[in-house]
Amino acid sequence: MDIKTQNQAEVSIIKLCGELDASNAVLVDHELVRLTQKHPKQIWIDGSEISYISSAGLGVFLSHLNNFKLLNINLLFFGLNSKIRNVFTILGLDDLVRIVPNLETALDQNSQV
Amino acid sequence: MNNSIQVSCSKKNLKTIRDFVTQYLSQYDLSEIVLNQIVLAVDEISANLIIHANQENADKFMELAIERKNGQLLFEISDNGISFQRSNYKEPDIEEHIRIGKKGGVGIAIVNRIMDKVEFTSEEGRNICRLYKTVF
Repeated sequence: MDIKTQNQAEVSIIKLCGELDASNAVLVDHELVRLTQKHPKQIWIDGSEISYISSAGLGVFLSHLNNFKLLNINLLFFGLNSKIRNVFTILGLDDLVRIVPNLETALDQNSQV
Repeated sequence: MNNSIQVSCSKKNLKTIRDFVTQYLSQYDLSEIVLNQIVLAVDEISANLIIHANQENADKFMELAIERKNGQLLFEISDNGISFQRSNYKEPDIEEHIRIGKKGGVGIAIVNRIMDKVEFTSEEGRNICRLYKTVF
């Protein structure tokens, strides 16, 4: 799992590349903790290069949702392929987190807020 | 085709298991989503065995065997660690998990939603989890 973070004015974009499982989910957790301390208004997850996600990967994001809400940090996922999106759907997470098809949609929706 | 694999109880072997399942299932014409779901279910059980039942002790081993039986795929995952007590299992409340910031505890729920049947047994001190999936 490779993690690349790009910080823009109010948005931090974390690009995750590879397989996110129980062996490396802690790395994503540490990155989310680190970013949270910088108080971004938005954290976007670029999932276009995620090839696999298990419950350990999903659990990392779930565990931060409430804290993000308290800190007014908007979490958004974009670029998820159909099999990764399906894993979100199995647990009903697609109703609990914001998922958009691609970066363009994310930017477009953000500019309308 | 080789239908079984034994790995030590280290989290890095989860990828070995996923690659083995993917390779085995490549002989069947499964959609990418169904293939990923099956790999995920086996990965979730394997992660539980490695982390919880065997405390990531690389001196311990778990085994996975796959067979096609009566039109179903059967995945048999076994180890000698602490057995899973299904009677103590409760389906997770995802919204409660979010509220308290809980990281784990949703793996078995995923397995139950993907597989047609999930069995946990102990036979002569060996714990066996059997996952059944009809794909044919």
